[in-house]
Amino acid sequence: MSATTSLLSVLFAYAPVMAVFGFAAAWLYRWGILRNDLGPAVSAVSPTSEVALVVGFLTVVGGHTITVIAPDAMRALLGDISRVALIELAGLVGALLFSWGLLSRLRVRLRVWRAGGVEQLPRVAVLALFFLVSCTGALLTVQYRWLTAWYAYVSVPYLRSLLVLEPVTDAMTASPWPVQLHVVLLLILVAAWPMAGLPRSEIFPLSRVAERLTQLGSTSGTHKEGSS
Amino acid sequence: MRLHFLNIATLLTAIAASSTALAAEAPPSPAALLFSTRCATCHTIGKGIKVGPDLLGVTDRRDKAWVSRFVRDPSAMIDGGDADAAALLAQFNGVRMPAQQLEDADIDGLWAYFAACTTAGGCEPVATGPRWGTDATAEEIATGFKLFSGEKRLASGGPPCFTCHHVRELGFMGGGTLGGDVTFAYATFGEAGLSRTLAELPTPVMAAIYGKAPLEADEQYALKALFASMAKDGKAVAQQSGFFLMGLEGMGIILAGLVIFWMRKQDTSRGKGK
Repeated sequence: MSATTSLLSVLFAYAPVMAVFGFAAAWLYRWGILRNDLGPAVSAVSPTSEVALVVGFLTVVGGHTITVIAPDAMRALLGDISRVALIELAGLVGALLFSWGLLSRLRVRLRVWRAGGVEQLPRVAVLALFFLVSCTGALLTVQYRWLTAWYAYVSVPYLRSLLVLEPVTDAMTASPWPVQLHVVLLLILVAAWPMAGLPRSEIFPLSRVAERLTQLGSTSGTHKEGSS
Repeated sequence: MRLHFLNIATLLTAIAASSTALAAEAPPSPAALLFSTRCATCHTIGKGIKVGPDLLGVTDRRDKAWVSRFVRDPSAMIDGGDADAAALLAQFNGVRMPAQQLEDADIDGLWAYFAACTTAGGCEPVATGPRWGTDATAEEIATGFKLFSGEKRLASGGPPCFTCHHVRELGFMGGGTLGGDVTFAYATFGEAGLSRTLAELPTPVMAAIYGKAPLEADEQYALKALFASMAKDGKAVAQQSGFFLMGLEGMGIILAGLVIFWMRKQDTSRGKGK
Protein backbone atom coordinates (compact mmCIF):
# COMPACT_ATOMS: atom_id res chain seq x y z
CA MET A 1 0.00 0.00 0.00
CA SER A 2 1.52 3.34 -1.03
CA ALA A 3 1.86 6.29 1.35
CA THR A 4 -0.82 8.22 -0.54
CA THR A 5 -3.26 5.32 -0.31
CA SER A 6 -2.56 4.97 3.41
CA LEU A 7 -3.15 8.68 3.96
CA LEU A 8 -6.38 8.56 1.96
CA SER A 9 -7.48 5.51 3.90
CA VAL A 10 -6.96 7.37 7.18
CA LEU A 11 -8.69 10.45 5.77
CA PHE A 12 -11.81 8.57 4.68
CA ALA A 13 -11.91 6.57 7.90
CA TYR A 14 -11.64 9.52 10.31
CA ALA A 15 -12.75 12.63 8.42
CA PRO A 16 -16.46 11.68 8.67
CA VAL A 17 -16.12 11.32 12.46
CA MET A 18 -14.40 14.70 12.63
CA ALA A 19 -17.14 16.20 10.46
CA VAL A 20 -19.82 14.89 12.84
CA PHE A 21 -17.94 16.25 15.86
CA GLY A 22 -17.44 19.54 14.03
CA PHE A 23 -21.15 19.69 13.28
CA ALA A 24 -22.03 18.99 16.94
CA ALA A 25 -19.57 21.62 18.20
CA ALA A 26 -20.78 24.22 15.71
CA TRP A 27 -24.39 23.43 16.53
CA LEU A 28 -23.73 23.84 20.28
CA TYR A 29 -21.96 27.13 19.61
CA ARG A 30 -24.83 28.37 17.45
CA TRP A 31 -27.56 27.39 19.90
CA GLY A 32 -25.71 27.64 23.23
CA ILE A 33 -23.81 30.88 22.74
CA LEU A 34 -25.45 32.69 19.86
CA ARG A 35 -28.96 31.47 20.76
CA ASN A 36 -29.43 30.74 17.08
CA ASP A 37 -29.52 34.41 16.21
CA LEU A 38 -30.05 34.28 12.46
CA GLY A 39 -29.66 38.00 11.97
CA PRO A 40 -31.83 40.12 9.74
CA ALA A 41 -33.64 38.38 6.87
CA VAL A 42 -32.27 38.99 3.38
CA SER A 43 -34.32 39.74 0.31
CA ALA A 44 -35.89 36.72 -1.37
CA VAL A 45 -34.70 35.23 -4.63
CA SER A 46 -36.96 34.90 -7.65
CA PRO A 47 -39.77 32.31 -7.57
CA THR A 48 -38.01 30.45 -10.41
CA SER A 49 -34.85 30.09 -8.32
CA GLU A 50 -36.88 28.93 -5.32
CA VAL A 51 -38.61 26.23 -7.36
CA ALA A 52 -35.21 25.26 -8.84
CA LEU A 53 -33.89 24.88 -5.28
CA VAL A 54 -36.83 22.72 -4.20
CA VAL A 55 -36.80 20.49 -7.31
CA GLY A 56 -33.00 20.25 -7.29
CA PHE A 57 -32.84 19.47 -3.57
CA LEU A 58 -35.51 16.76 -3.83
CA THR A 59 -33.78 15.17 -6.84
CA VAL A 60 -30.23 15.25 -5.55
CA VAL A 61 -30.71 14.61 -1.84
CA GLY A 62 -33.61 12.23 -2.48
CA GLY A 63 -31.58 10.18 -4.97
CA HIS A 64 -28.56 9.96 -2.69
CA THR A 65 -30.65 9.06 0.36
CA ILE A 66 -32.83 6.43 -1.31
CA THR A 67 -29.72 4.66 -2.61
CA VAL A 68 -28.19 4.60 0.89
CA ILE A 69 -31.42 3.31 2.43
CA ALA A 70 -32.25 0.69 -0.22
CA PRO A 71 -29.07 -0.11 -2.17
CA ASP A 72 -30.22 -3.51 -3.44
CA ALA A 73 -33.43 -2.13 -4.90
CA MET A 74 -31.48 0.70 -6.51
CA ARG A 75 -28.90 -1.71 -7.94
CA ALA A 76 -31.68 -3.81 -9.46
CA LEU A 77 -33.07 -0.63 -10.98
CA LEU A 78 -29.63 0.30 -12.29
CA GLY A 79 -29.14 -3.07 -14.00
CA ASP A 80 -30.41 -1.74 -17.31
CA ILE A 81 -28.50 0.87 -19.29
CA SER A 82 -31.63 2.76 -20.42
CA ARG A 83 -32.88 3.12 -16.85
CA VAL A 84 -29.43 4.24 -15.70
CA ALA A 85 -29.33 6.83 -18.48
CA LEU A 86 -32.75 8.16 -17.47
CA ILE A 87 -31.95 8.29 -13.75
CA GLU A 88 -28.58 9.88 -14.39
CA LEU A 89 -30.06 12.51 -16.68
CA ALA A 90 -32.71 13.36 -14.08
CA GLY A 91 -29.93 13.59 -11.49
CA LEU A 92 -27.87 15.89 -13.70
CA VAL A 93 -30.81 18.19 -14.37
CA GLY A 94 -31.56 18.21 -10.62
CA ALA A 95 -27.94 19.04 -9.76
CA LEU A 96 -27.87 21.86 -12.32
CA LEU A 97 -31.16 23.28 -11.02
CA PHE A 98 -29.89 23.07 -7.45
CA SER A 99 -26.64 24.81 -8.44
CA TRP A 100 -28.67 27.52 -10.18
CA GLY A 101 -30.79 28.06 -7.08
CA LEU A 102 -27.76 28.11 -4.80
CA LEU A 103 -26.04 30.62 -7.07
CA SER A 104 -29.06 32.92 -6.78
CA ARG A 105 -28.92 32.62 -2.99
CA LEU A 106 -25.19 33.25 -2.99
CA ARG A 107 -25.57 36.38 -5.10
CA VAL A 108 -28.14 37.82 -2.67
CA ARG A 109 -25.91 37.04 0.34
CA LEU A 110 -22.87 38.52 -1.42
CA ARG A 111 -24.79 41.72 -2.10
CA VAL A 112 -25.73 41.99 1.58
CA TRP A 113 -22.17 41.28 2.67
CA ARG A 114 -20.77 43.94 0.34
CA ALA A 115 -23.34 46.38 1.67
CA GLY A 116 -21.85 45.83 5.14
CA GLY A 117 -24.34 43.32 6.53
CA VAL A 118 -23.31 41.82 9.86
CA GLU A 119 -22.22 38.17 10.18
CA GLN A 120 -22.55 37.61 6.45
CA LEU A 121 -19.10 36.21 5.75
CA PRO A 122 -19.69 32.72 7.27
CA ARG A 123 -23.01 32.54 5.41
CA VAL A 124 -21.41 33.52 2.14
CA ALA A 125 -18.61 31.01 2.72
CA VAL A 126 -20.98 28.14 3.54
CA LEU A 127 -23.25 28.93 0.59
CA ALA A 128 -20.20 29.09 -1.68
CA LEU A 129 -19.09 25.72 -0.32
CA PHE A 130 -22.55 24.26 -0.88
CA PHE A 131 -22.50 25.65 -4.42
CA LEU A 132 -19.09 24.05 -4.97
CA VAL A 133 -20.31 20.66 -3.69
CA SER A 134 -23.31 20.85 -6.01
CA CYS A 135 -21.17 21.89 -8.99
CA THR A 136 -18.59 19.13 -8.40
CA GLY A 137 -21.49 16.64 -8.26
CA ALA A 138 -22.83 17.87 -11.60
CA LEU A 139 -19.34 17.85 -13.13
CA LEU A 140 -18.72 14.31 -11.87
CA THR A 141 -21.96 13.18 -13.48
CA VAL A 142 -20.71 14.54 -16.78
CA GLN A 143 -17.09 13.44 -16.42
CA TYR A 144 -17.63 9.91 -15.06
CA ARG A 145 -20.62 8.13 -16.49
CA TRP A 146 -22.44 6.30 -15.05
CA LEU A 147 -21.91 7.94 -11.68
CA THR A 148 -25.28 6.82 -10.30
CA ALA A 149 -24.24 3.18 -10.60
CA TRP A 150 -20.79 4.08 -9.33
CA TYR A 151 -22.37 5.72 -6.29
CA ALA A 152 -24.54 2.66 -5.63
CA TYR A 153 -21.63 0.23 -5.81
CA VAL A 154 -18.74 2.28 -4.41
CA SER A 155 -19.90 5.17 -2.25
CA VAL A 156 -22.93 3.57 -0.63
CA PRO A 157 -21.01 0.60 0.84
CA TYR A 158 -18.57 3.17 2.24
CA LEU A 159 -21.34 5.35 3.69
CA ARG A 160 -23.12 2.33 5.19
CA SER A 161 -19.85 1.14 6.71
CA LEU A 162 -19.53 4.56 8.36
CA LEU A 163 -22.98 4.17 9.88
CA VAL A 164 -21.91 0.96 11.65
CA LEU A 165 -18.58 2.58 12.64
CA GLU A 166 -16.52 0.09 10.63
CA PRO A 167 -15.28 2.20 7.71
CA VAL A 168 -14.35 0.26 4.56
CA THR A 169 -12.29 2.74 2.58
CA ASP A 170 -10.78 0.55 -0.20
CA ALA A 171 -13.16 1.63 -2.93
CA MET A 172 -12.99 5.30 -1.91
CA THR A 173 -9.20 5.38 -1.88
CA ALA A 174 -9.22 3.76 -5.33
CA SER A 175 -11.69 6.32 -6.69
CA PRO A 176 -10.58 9.14 -9.00
CA TRP A 177 -9.54 12.28 -7.15
CA PRO A 178 -12.55 14.40 -8.25
CA VAL A 179 -14.83 11.86 -6.54
CA GLN A 180 -12.70 12.07 -3.40
CA LEU A 181 -12.74 15.87 -3.57
CA HIS A 182 -16.55 15.88 -3.79
CA VAL A 183 -16.80 13.71 -0.65
CA VAL A 184 -14.25 15.79 1.28
CA LEU A 185 -16.04 19.04 0.36
CA LEU A 186 -19.30 17.50 1.53
CA LEU A 187 -17.75 16.55 4.88
CA ILE A 188 -16.41 20.09 5.32
CA LEU A 189 -19.88 21.41 4.52
CA VAL A 190 -21.44 19.14 7.16
CA ALA A 191 -19.01 20.44 9.79
CA ALA A 192 -19.38 24.09 8.78
CA TRP A 193 -23.13 24.22 8.18
CA PRO A 194 -24.32 25.18 11.71
CA MET A 195 -21.68 27.95 11.93
CA ALA A 196 -23.39 29.88 9.15
CA GLY A 197 -26.74 30.03 10.88
CA LEU A 198 -28.57 29.85 7.60
CA PRO A 199 -32.27 29.17 7.88
CA ARG A 200 -33.21 25.80 6.36
CA SER A 201 -35.68 27.55 4.09
CA GLU A 202 -32.77 29.22 2.33
CA ILE A 203 -31.72 25.87 0.83
CA PHE A 204 -35.05 24.08 0.73
CA PRO A 205 -37.77 26.76 0.48
CA LEU A 206 -40.64 24.30 0.15
CA SER A 207 -42.99 26.23 2.44
CA ARG A 208 -42.22 29.46 0.58
CA VAL A 209 -42.96 27.85 -2.80
CA ALA A 210 -46.14 26.29 -1.41
CA GLU A 211 -47.13 29.69 -0.02
CA ARG A 212 -46.56 31.35 -3.38
CA LEU A 213 -48.59 28.68 -5.17
CA THR A 214 -51.40 29.01 -2.63
CA GLN A 215 -51.40 32.79 -3.09
CA LEU A 216 -51.50 32.43 -6.84
CA GLY A 217 -54.24 29.82 -6.57
CA SER A 218 -56.38 32.06 -4.37
CA THR A 219 -55.69 35.06 -6.63
CA SER A 220 -56.77 33.24 -9.76
CA GLY A 221 -59.75 31.78 -7.85
CA THR A 222 -60.84 35.28 -6.78
CA HIS A 223 -60.23 36.50 -10.33
CA LYS A 224 -62.48 33.81 -11.73
CA GLU A 225 -65.20 34.62 -9.20
CA GLY A 226 -64.84 38.31 -10.02
CA SER A 227 -65.07 37.78 -13.74
CA SER A 228 -68.15 35.54 -13.39
CA MET B 1 9.63 -71.57 -32.05
CA ARG B 2 6.32 -70.31 -33.35
CA LEU B 3 5.47 -68.99 -29.94
CA HIS B 4 8.81 -67.20 -29.83
CA PHE B 5 8.12 -65.56 -33.25
CA LEU B 6 4.70 -64.34 -32.00
CA ASN B 7 6.34 -62.81 -28.95
CA ILE B 8 8.81 -60.89 -31.10
CA ALA B 9 5.95 -59.66 -33.35
CA THR B 10 3.98 -58.53 -30.33
CA LEU B 11 7.01 -56.77 -28.95
CA LEU B 12 7.67 -54.99 -32.27
CA THR B 13 4.01 -53.92 -32.50
CA ALA B 14 4.17 -52.56 -28.97
CA ILE B 15 7.37 -50.66 -29.73
CA ALA B 16 5.83 -49.23 -32.91
CA ALA B 17 2.70 -48.15 -31.04
CA SER B 18 4.64 -46.54 -28.22
CA SER B 19 6.91 -44.69 -30.65
CA THR B 20 3.84 -43.36 -32.49
CA ALA B 21 2.41 -42.18 -29.16
CA LEU B 22 5.72 -40.59 -28.23
CA ALA B 23 5.80 -38.80 -31.59
CA ALA B 24 2.26 -37.54 -31.02
CA GLU B 25 3.14 -36.26 -27.56
CA ALA B 26 6.44 -34.68 -28.63
CA PRO B 27 6.62 -31.21 -27.11
CA PRO B 28 6.04 -28.40 -29.60
CA SER B 29 9.02 -26.28 -30.60
CA PRO B 30 9.64 -23.08 -28.62
CA ALA B 31 8.69 -21.05 -31.69
CA ALA B 32 5.40 -22.94 -32.09
CA LEU B 33 4.61 -22.32 -28.43
CA LEU B 34 5.56 -18.66 -28.73
CA PHE B 35 3.32 -18.27 -31.78
CA SER B 36 0.46 -20.06 -29.99
CA THR B 37 0.66 -17.98 -26.84
CA ARG B 38 1.57 -14.56 -28.21
CA CYS B 39 0.49 -14.37 -31.85
CA ALA B 40 -2.30 -16.87 -32.51
CA THR B 41 -4.96 -14.88 -30.67
CA CYS B 42 -4.89 -12.38 -33.52
CA HIS B 43 -3.14 -14.21 -36.38
CA THR B 44 -3.44 -17.54 -38.23
CA ILE B 45 -0.99 -19.25 -40.55
CA GLY B 46 -3.03 -20.32 -43.52
CA LYS B 47 -6.51 -19.99 -41.99
CA GLY B 48 -7.25 -16.45 -43.12
CA ILE B 49 -7.56 -13.07 -41.42
CA LYS B 50 -8.42 -13.10 -37.69
CA VAL B 51 -7.87 -9.80 -35.85
CA GLY B 52 -4.65 -9.20 -37.80
CA PRO B 53 -3.33 -10.54 -41.14
CA ASP B 54 -2.79 -14.20 -42.06
CA LEU B 55 0.94 -14.88 -41.62
CA LEU B 56 1.15 -17.56 -44.34
CA GLY B 57 3.85 -16.39 -46.71
CA VAL B 58 4.92 -13.49 -44.51
CA THR B 59 8.55 -14.56 -45.02
CA ASP B 60 8.07 -14.02 -48.76
CA ARG B 61 6.09 -10.78 -48.47
CA ARG B 62 8.26 -8.98 -45.92
CA ASP B 63 11.83 -8.43 -44.98
CA LYS B 64 12.90 -10.07 -41.69
CA ALA B 65 14.44 -6.86 -40.36
CA TRP B 66 11.19 -4.99 -41.06
CA VAL B 67 9.09 -7.62 -39.26
CA SER B 68 11.53 -7.59 -36.37
CA ARG B 69 11.17 -3.83 -35.94
CA PHE B 70 7.43 -3.84 -36.50
CA VAL B 71 6.47 -6.49 -33.90
CA ARG B 72 8.64 -4.83 -31.26
CA ASP B 73 7.08 -1.38 -31.70
CA PRO B 74 4.29 -1.11 -34.29
CA SER B 75 3.15 2.32 -33.16
CA ALA B 76 6.61 3.83 -33.59
CA MET B 77 6.71 2.63 -37.19
CA ILE B 78 3.15 3.78 -37.91
CA ASP B 79 3.72 7.20 -36.37
CA GLY B 80 7.19 7.34 -37.95
CA GLY B 81 5.64 7.33 -41.40
CA ASP B 82 6.49 3.79 -42.55
CA ALA B 83 4.28 3.25 -45.58
CA ASP B 84 3.78 -0.52 -45.11
CA ALA B 85 2.94 -0.10 -41.42
CA ALA B 86 0.47 2.67 -42.26
CA ALA B 87 -1.09 0.48 -44.95
CA LEU B 88 -1.59 -2.34 -42.42
CA LEU B 89 -3.21 0.09 -39.99
CA ALA B 90 -5.59 1.29 -42.70
CA GLN B 91 -6.36 -2.28 -43.82
CA PHE B 92 -7.23 -3.37 -40.28
CA ASN B 93 -9.44 -0.40 -39.47
CA GLY B 94 -7.07 1.39 -37.18
CA VAL B 95 -6.41 -1.51 -34.79
CA ARG B 96 -2.80 -1.14 -33.65
CA MET B 97 -0.92 -4.29 -32.80
CA PRO B 98 0.40 -4.18 -29.22
CA ALA B 99 4.21 -4.01 -28.96
CA GLN B 100 5.81 -7.40 -28.25
CA GLN B 101 8.89 -7.72 -26.09
CA LEU B 102 10.82 -10.34 -28.05
CA GLU B 103 14.52 -11.27 -28.02
CA ASP B 104 16.49 -11.67 -31.25
CA ALA B 105 16.46 -15.45 -30.69
CA ASP B 106 12.63 -15.36 -30.45
CA ILE B 107 12.41 -13.48 -33.73
CA ASP B 108 14.81 -15.93 -35.42
CA GLY B 109 12.77 -18.88 -34.15
CA LEU B 110 9.46 -17.36 -35.25
CA TRP B 111 10.87 -16.45 -38.66
CA ALA B 112 12.04 -20.06 -39.21
CA TYR B 113 8.65 -21.30 -37.96
CA PHE B 114 6.74 -19.01 -40.35
CA ALA B 115 8.95 -20.18 -43.24
CA ALA B 116 8.38 -23.87 -42.38
CA CYS B 117 4.63 -23.32 -42.01
CA THR B 118 4.53 -21.46 -45.34
CA THR B 119 6.25 -24.41 -47.01
CA ALA B 120 3.81 -26.80 -45.32
CA GLY B 121 0.83 -24.72 -46.44
CA GLY B 122 -0.13 -23.62 -42.90
CA CYS B 123 0.14 -24.51 -39.21
CA GLU B 124 -2.34 -24.93 -36.40
CA PRO B 125 -1.49 -23.34 -33.04
CA VAL B 126 -0.76 -25.82 -30.28
CA ALA B 127 -3.07 -26.07 -27.28
CA THR B 128 -1.60 -23.90 -24.54
CA GLY B 129 -4.31 -23.55 -21.94
CA PRO B 130 -7.95 -22.57 -21.64
CA ARG B 131 -10.24 -22.16 -24.63
CA TRP B 132 -9.62 -19.02 -26.64
CA GLY B 133 -12.07 -16.21 -26.99
CA THR B 134 -11.84 -16.40 -30.77
CA ASP B 135 -13.25 -19.96 -30.70
CA ALA B 136 -16.54 -18.89 -29.10
CA THR B 137 -19.96 -19.61 -30.54
CA ALA B 138 -22.39 -16.83 -31.48
CA GLU B 139 -24.45 -17.76 -28.43
CA GLU B 140 -21.48 -17.28 -26.09
CA ILE B 141 -20.70 -13.90 -27.66
CA ALA B 142 -24.36 -12.88 -27.20
CA THR B 143 -24.18 -13.96 -23.55
CA GLY B 144 -21.07 -11.81 -23.15
CA PHE B 145 -22.93 -8.81 -24.54
CA LYS B 146 -25.87 -9.43 -22.20
CA LEU B 147 -23.51 -9.60 -19.22
CA PHE B 148 -21.76 -6.43 -20.34
CA SER B 149 -24.96 -4.47 -20.89
CA GLY B 150 -26.64 -5.69 -17.68
CA GLU B 151 -29.39 -7.57 -19.54
CA LYS B 152 -28.12 -10.66 -17.73
CA ARG B 153 -27.03 -10.16 -14.13
CA LEU B 154 -23.67 -11.41 -12.91
CA ALA B 155 -24.08 -14.50 -10.72
CA SER B 156 -22.21 -13.04 -7.76
CA GLY B 157 -24.15 -9.76 -7.86
CA GLY B 158 -21.37 -7.49 -9.09
CA PRO B 159 -22.20 -4.43 -11.19
CA PRO B 160 -22.53 -4.93 -14.96
CA CYS B 161 -19.52 -3.85 -17.01
CA PHE B 162 -21.32 -0.96 -18.73
CA THR B 163 -21.39 1.05 -15.50
CA CYS B 164 -17.68 1.84 -16.00
CA HIS B 165 -16.79 0.66 -19.53
CA HIS B 166 -17.91 1.26 -23.07
CA VAL B 167 -17.93 -1.07 -26.08
CA ARG B 168 -19.07 -0.45 -29.61
CA GLU B 169 -22.79 -1.06 -30.30
CA LEU B 170 -23.85 -0.39 -26.72
CA GLY B 171 -26.55 1.99 -27.80
CA PHE B 172 -27.40 5.66 -27.89
CA MET B 173 -25.83 6.81 -24.63
CA GLY B 174 -23.00 4.27 -24.55
CA GLY B 175 -21.27 2.77 -21.54
CA GLY B 176 -19.46 4.37 -18.63
CA THR B 177 -16.43 6.58 -19.03
CA LEU B 178 -14.79 5.76 -15.71
CA GLY B 179 -12.98 2.64 -16.91
CA GLY B 180 -12.68 3.60 -20.55
CA ASP B 181 -13.48 1.98 -23.87
CA VAL B 182 -12.72 -1.76 -23.98
CA THR B 183 -13.83 -2.47 -27.55
CA PHE B 184 -10.29 -3.48 -28.52
CA ALA B 185 -9.28 -4.99 -25.16
CA TYR B 186 -8.70 -8.38 -26.80
CA ALA B 187 -6.27 -6.91 -29.31
CA THR B 188 -4.56 -4.86 -26.62
CA PHE B 189 -4.18 -7.45 -23.86
CA GLY B 190 -4.09 -10.61 -25.97
CA GLU B 191 -5.73 -13.91 -25.09
CA ALA B 192 -3.57 -14.66 -22.07
CA GLY B 193 -3.57 -11.11 -20.71
CA LEU B 194 -7.32 -10.72 -21.01
CA SER B 195 -7.98 -14.12 -19.43
CA ARG B 196 -5.82 -13.11 -16.49
CA THR B 197 -7.45 -9.68 -16.23
CA LEU B 198 -10.97 -11.11 -16.21
CA ALA B 199 -10.01 -13.72 -13.63
CA GLU B 200 -8.15 -11.39 -11.30
CA LEU B 201 -9.76 -7.98 -12.05
CA PRO B 202 -6.51 -6.46 -10.84
CA THR B 203 -7.09 -2.67 -10.96
CA PRO B 204 -7.61 -1.08 -7.53
CA VAL B 205 -11.19 -0.03 -8.30
CA MET B 206 -12.21 -3.40 -9.73
CA ALA B 207 -10.52 -5.24 -6.88
CA ALA B 208 -12.49 -3.15 -4.39
CA ILE B 209 -15.80 -3.74 -6.16
CA TYR B 210 -15.45 -7.34 -7.35
CA GLY B 211 -13.25 -8.58 -4.48
CA LYS B 212 -16.27 -10.24 -2.88
CA ALA B 213 -18.12 -10.77 -6.15
CA PRO B 214 -15.68 -12.30 -8.67
CA LEU B 215 -16.76 -13.32 -12.15
CA GLU B 216 -17.72 -16.98 -12.64
CA ALA B 217 -15.60 -18.98 -15.12
CA ASP B 218 -18.35 -19.10 -17.74
CA GLU B 219 -18.92 -15.33 -17.35
CA GLN B 220 -15.22 -14.69 -17.84
CA TYR B 221 -15.27 -16.75 -21.01
CA ALA B 222 -18.42 -15.09 -22.37
CA LEU B 223 -16.92 -11.63 -21.83
CA LYS B 224 -13.64 -12.71 -23.41
CA ALA B 225 -15.63 -14.05 -26.37
CA LEU B 226 -17.40 -10.67 -26.67
CA PHE B 227 -14.11 -8.77 -26.67
CA ALA B 228 -12.58 -11.18 -29.19
CA SER B 229 -15.58 -10.70 -31.44
CA MET B 230 -15.43 -6.90 -31.06
CA ALA B 231 -11.70 -6.82 -31.88
CA LYS B 232 -12.25 -8.90 -35.04
CA ASP B 233 -14.35 -6.09 -36.43
CA GLY B 234 -12.06 -3.10 -36.31
CA LYS B 235 -14.77 -0.50 -36.93
CA ALA B 236 -14.10 2.73 -35.11
CA VAL B 237 -16.06 3.41 -31.94
CA ALA B 238 -18.67 6.14 -32.35
CA GLN B 239 -18.35 9.23 -30.22
CA GLN B 240 -20.83 9.26 -27.37
CA SER B 241 -23.58 11.82 -27.31
CA GLY B 242 -23.26 15.13 -25.45
CA PHE B 243 -24.58 14.23 -22.04
CA PHE B 244 -23.81 17.59 -20.52
CA LEU B 245 -25.68 19.38 -23.29
CA MET B 246 -28.71 17.19 -22.62
CA GLY B 247 -28.53 18.12 -18.93
CA LEU B 248 -28.24 21.82 -19.77
CA GLU B 249 -31.17 21.55 -22.15
CA GLY B 250 -33.24 19.83 -19.46
CA MET B 251 -32.41 22.56 -16.95
CA GLY B 252 -33.08 25.28 -19.53
CA ILE B 253 -36.49 23.86 -20.39
CA ILE B 254 -37.50 23.62 -16.73
CA LEU B 255 -36.27 27.13 -15.88
CA ALA B 256 -37.90 28.64 -18.98
CA GLY B 257 -41.14 26.82 -18.13
CA LEU B 258 -41.04 28.21 -14.59
CA VAL B 259 -40.34 31.77 -15.77
CA ILE B 260 -43.24 31.62 -18.23
CA PHE B 261 -45.50 30.11 -15.55
CA TRP B 262 -44.74 32.86 -12.99
CA MET B 263 -44.98 35.63 -15.59
CA ARG B 264 -48.41 34.45 -16.68
CA LYS B 265 -49.57 34.18 -13.09
CA GLN B 266 -48.30 37.69 -12.36
CA ASP B 267 -50.07 39.03 -15.44
CA THR B 268 -53.25 37.37 -14.24
CA SER B 269 -52.81 39.00 -10.82
CA ARG B 270 -52.18 42.44 -12.40
CA GLY B 271 -55.22 42.02 -14.63
CA LYS B 272 -57.28 41.31 -11.57
CA GLY B 273 -55.82 44.40 -9.84
CA LYS B 274 -57.00 46.62 -12.70
